[in-house]
Amino acid sequence: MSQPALDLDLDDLGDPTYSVAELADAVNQVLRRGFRDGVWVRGEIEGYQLRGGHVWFSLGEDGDRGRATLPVVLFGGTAARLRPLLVRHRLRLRDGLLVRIHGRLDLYAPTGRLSLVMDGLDPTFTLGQMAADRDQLLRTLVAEGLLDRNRRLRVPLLPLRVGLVASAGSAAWHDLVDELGRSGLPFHLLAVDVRVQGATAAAEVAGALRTLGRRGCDVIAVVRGGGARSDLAAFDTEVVARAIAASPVPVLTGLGHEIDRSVADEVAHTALKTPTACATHLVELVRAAQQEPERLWTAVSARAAQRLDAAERRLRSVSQGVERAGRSAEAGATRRLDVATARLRERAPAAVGRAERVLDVLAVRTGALDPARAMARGWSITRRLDGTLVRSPADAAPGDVLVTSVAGGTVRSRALDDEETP
Amino acid sequence: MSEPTYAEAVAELEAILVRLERDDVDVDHLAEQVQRAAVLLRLCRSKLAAAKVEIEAVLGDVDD
Repeated sequence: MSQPALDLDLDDLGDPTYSVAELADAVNQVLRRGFRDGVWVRGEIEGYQLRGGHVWFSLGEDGDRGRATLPVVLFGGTAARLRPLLVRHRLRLRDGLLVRIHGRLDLYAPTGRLSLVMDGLDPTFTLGQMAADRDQLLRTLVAEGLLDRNRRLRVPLLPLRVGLVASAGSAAWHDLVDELGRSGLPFHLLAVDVRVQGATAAAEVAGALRTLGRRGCDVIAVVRGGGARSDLAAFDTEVVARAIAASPVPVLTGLGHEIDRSVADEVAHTALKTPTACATHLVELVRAAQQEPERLWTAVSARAAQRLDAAERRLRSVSQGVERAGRSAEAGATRRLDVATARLRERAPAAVGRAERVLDVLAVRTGALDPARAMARGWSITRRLDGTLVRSPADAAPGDVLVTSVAGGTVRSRALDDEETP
Repeated sequence: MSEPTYAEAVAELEAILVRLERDDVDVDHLAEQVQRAAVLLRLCRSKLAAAKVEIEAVLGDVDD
């Protein structure tokens, strides 16, 4: 096919013909005129990379006709100018971040690529988007009853076997391990090394949580160092939130941010601000558990001592009672004896006097019966020779010799007949 | 009898304390109970004997 030789001069009449470079310039002029003050575009950052002091990424969007992308370049100087704005809003550009950025469109002649030369960013758009996503996720978790599922788990009394999800060797890792080490307690760490930011972070963190959940940990600590709000993206994802909610052991977070709470913090059993705070919390739990047996032992020994004292007191009181009773019985007996003695002493002389009197009477009465006394008064006793008493006249026959005892001696006589005269 | 766990030992200590707090505690069994409490305390202490933090890397079997 023959090709007519055309004059490429733009000044020619007829269809203008551009050189490639000229076309690029022309397009750029049209773009500048069309988007006088530049243009705002929103989309999701992808393919983020830092190269030659400049930042390169694409803005992407899924649409009806597949995915639409727009290359973006952020030159070093502009990036430096925008840094305070990003820092103030605790944002960092990264893949997956939804942004609304400002720039001017430029067709770069050497590559023929249209790109957006970024010169501004709307942080409130990104923050609002993140907040909206976060709120939506939280609502979902609440609806499914997952928000406080992990919080309802009980931390074992002695949480010494600690699962650790962190980036191995990071400051966060060292902060936690060093703090636990300083406690001198026998912690056993089961550590899973994960990336805590970047495209794979969420999946790695969720996977580590599932793995440690099966390894018989007492608790799992998920930690990372400080950083931008947008660096916490992995911890705002549904996959991490669900892994925490489904964990069979309590999950502690120490994500190194003072102000923001990630969804992971909301779902975790206990959210601490930093990895060090996480370790301190664990040490405090163990110390509290450690004090419990000491406290109980003190109480047990004190109680046992009290019981012994009480038993001893009871024993002493019983023995004192016995002694007291013994003493009082003895005293009673002595007292009774004394009384008896006193009475005896008091009454004995009277009794003796009484006896003497009785004796006197008896003596008198006895004396009255003495025949000697009767004889002294003239009475006599007459016996026959054979000694028998003559009590009546019949006892003496006439002629009998009678012996009559009188006070001065005896008189012998002979009995006469009634008519006989001496 | 197998060695109780820390939590079991603490629970048993608590139970001993409750028994000692009852008024009908038998003085014959007092020494026995206190001895058991001492054993449990020693056990708890030994479980917490100072040791270095051990770190076991769980690698290679991480779930995707």
